[in-house]
Amino acid sequence: MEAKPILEIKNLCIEFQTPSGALRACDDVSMTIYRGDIVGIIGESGSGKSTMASGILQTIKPPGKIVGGEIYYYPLSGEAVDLLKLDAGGYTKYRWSSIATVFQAAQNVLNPSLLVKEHFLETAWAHNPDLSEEEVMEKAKVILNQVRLEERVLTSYPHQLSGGMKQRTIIALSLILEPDIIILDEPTTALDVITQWYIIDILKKIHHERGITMIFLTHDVSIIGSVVDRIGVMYAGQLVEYGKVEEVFKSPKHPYTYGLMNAIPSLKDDVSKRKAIPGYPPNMLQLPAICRFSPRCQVHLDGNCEGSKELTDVMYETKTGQLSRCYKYQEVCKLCH
Amino acid sequence: MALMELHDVDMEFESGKGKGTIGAVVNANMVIEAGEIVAVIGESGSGKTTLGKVMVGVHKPTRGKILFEGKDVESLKGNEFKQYRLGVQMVHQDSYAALNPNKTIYHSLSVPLFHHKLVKGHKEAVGVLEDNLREVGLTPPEHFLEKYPHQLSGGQRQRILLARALSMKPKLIVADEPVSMVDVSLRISLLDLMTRMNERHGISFVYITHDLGTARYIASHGRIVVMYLGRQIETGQIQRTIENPKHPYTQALISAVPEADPDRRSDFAHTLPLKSLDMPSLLSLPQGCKFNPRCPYADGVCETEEPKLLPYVDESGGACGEVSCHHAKEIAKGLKTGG
Repeated sequence: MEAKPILEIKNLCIEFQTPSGALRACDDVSMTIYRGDIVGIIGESGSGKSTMASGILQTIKPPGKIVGGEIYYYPLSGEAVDLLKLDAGGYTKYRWSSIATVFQAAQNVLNPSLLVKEHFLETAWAHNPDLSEEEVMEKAKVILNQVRLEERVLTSYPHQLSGGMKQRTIIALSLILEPDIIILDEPTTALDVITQWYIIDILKKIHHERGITMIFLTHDVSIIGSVVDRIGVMYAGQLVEYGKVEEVFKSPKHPYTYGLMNAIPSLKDDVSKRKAIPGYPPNMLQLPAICRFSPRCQVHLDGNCEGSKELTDVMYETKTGQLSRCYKYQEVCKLCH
Repeated sequence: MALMELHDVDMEFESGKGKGTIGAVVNANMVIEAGEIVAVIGESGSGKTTLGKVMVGVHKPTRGKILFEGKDVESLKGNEFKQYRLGVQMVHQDSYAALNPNKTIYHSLSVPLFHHKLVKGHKEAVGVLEDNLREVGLTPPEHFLEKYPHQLSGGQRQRILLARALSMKPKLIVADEPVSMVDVSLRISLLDLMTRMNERHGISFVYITHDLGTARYIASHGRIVVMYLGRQIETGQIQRTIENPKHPYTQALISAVPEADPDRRSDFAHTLPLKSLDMPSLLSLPQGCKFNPRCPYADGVCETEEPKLLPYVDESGGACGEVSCHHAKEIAKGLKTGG
């Protein structure tokens, strides 16, 4: 069956005005997310993944501004909508009820002076004031059960919950309006390994039971490698690679992805094969005049690529639909050794 | 003679509101040899950071003895005490918080040099610091000395902290989660740097972390100490411990580590060998083995008697580190099944 797109991001550009000029945190990002998929977007701090998510959710605040692009959302039935063309009121229809999010540092998202129950009521009533308290609570209990929390959480204050319980509460809160898409921004960072395993397990089961499209943003590929269907890699505001997870893992088509895959120590691999990526991420206000990754790129440093900027302004597609910003994409695995 | 020894060290803190004391570290025994890398693993609240702070002398232990080069740290005076304080350095997790934002790197790094009279005058300080910065891979060094912390990236600041520790010519560096706030692509190079400092200068490292992957990377030939609620529950050679953990908690911890490779998707543990996911509060610890409420193998004896950390000898008679579990042998033989 042909996969149906649910979200189509086209040439999304987001800029932040700074005293030293405009900083383009999200630069010409295009990607299609398919209904029912779990997509992982990996990138280091400052790579623009959270900015892109804010763009989708339209929560960019000044000095930030969406300066270009289109984001099409395809509802299950009905016409596609360009989310960026909607005014603030028009977007309210979609935010949380179609596209929900679990923010980074979710532990701090809950209002400390409200009961968990009140968070659920507030969210539900904001979108449908006609619901009775019983109806909302009924739904909340089902969802809490899915994230394996007891009902007594509803009558607790946030400070009475552990970090893992808060994170599960936030996930439940994001599901209360039965969204189509849920964006998870670093959902397990700052949690212990065992809690992290638990959260991922819960998310996998929710995906299995509800078929919600999930977008995972993280800096640590090991967390999502065994969960996602597709993976996108961001570097310095650009999407540098996007494809099916098996392909991206086995034959990365961008030297940055190649480096990342070899830079993460795991429990099973040969320690001596791990290799650092040289250098540091670029200053987004002083980007190199050539390919953004070239100062750290093995292929460029070995003299096998001149790092032309023009050629990296577009993305290249392999026969199997893997996208890469590197114009030497066919030789990456060979040249990186 | 070992570089540092901990004998029955307890570290207790007064809890607020008169709720009693919290045993952040209980009965810690440890020997660190010169030139050794020891990884201390544990979740938040396991006491791993407190253990590190006890080693460097930030906290004075409630009970027990710490020996530095064979001498009791508490009895050290004058120059000998100074040798200990300089010889054991700490590198913290949050590199931004560890550097004064109002001072240049030169200022932050030269103060300890002048204070301990390791250099005479500005010129010599610059020379020493430039050597140290080069050593930690910050080149050209003069470019970094006049910078402020906010002008550097997280990875660079962490290198600055290593350079600062290095300038005291330490024998032991306690590194508390040095890479957990650093971008993934820069972690390996920092770990490599610490390995190089270990090899070149024979500096011992105590690497404190919750991340088994990086621990295995840096201490691949070294030892691991697993902590749970302030107690050491398992020690051993790191590679062997990861392949064949003895304590049920270590087993759960290792099966929870995610595996990136999608081919190994099926290896990802479907269930964790744990009865409950939540760690008990340090203020109301369970009786007996502290792990028993979460342990699938727990029985009567675990609820009443706290196991001791004892050497573990396997079938072939080979010593395999130490473990504190009443049933480690039976679990290893598969004689005991989870409830």
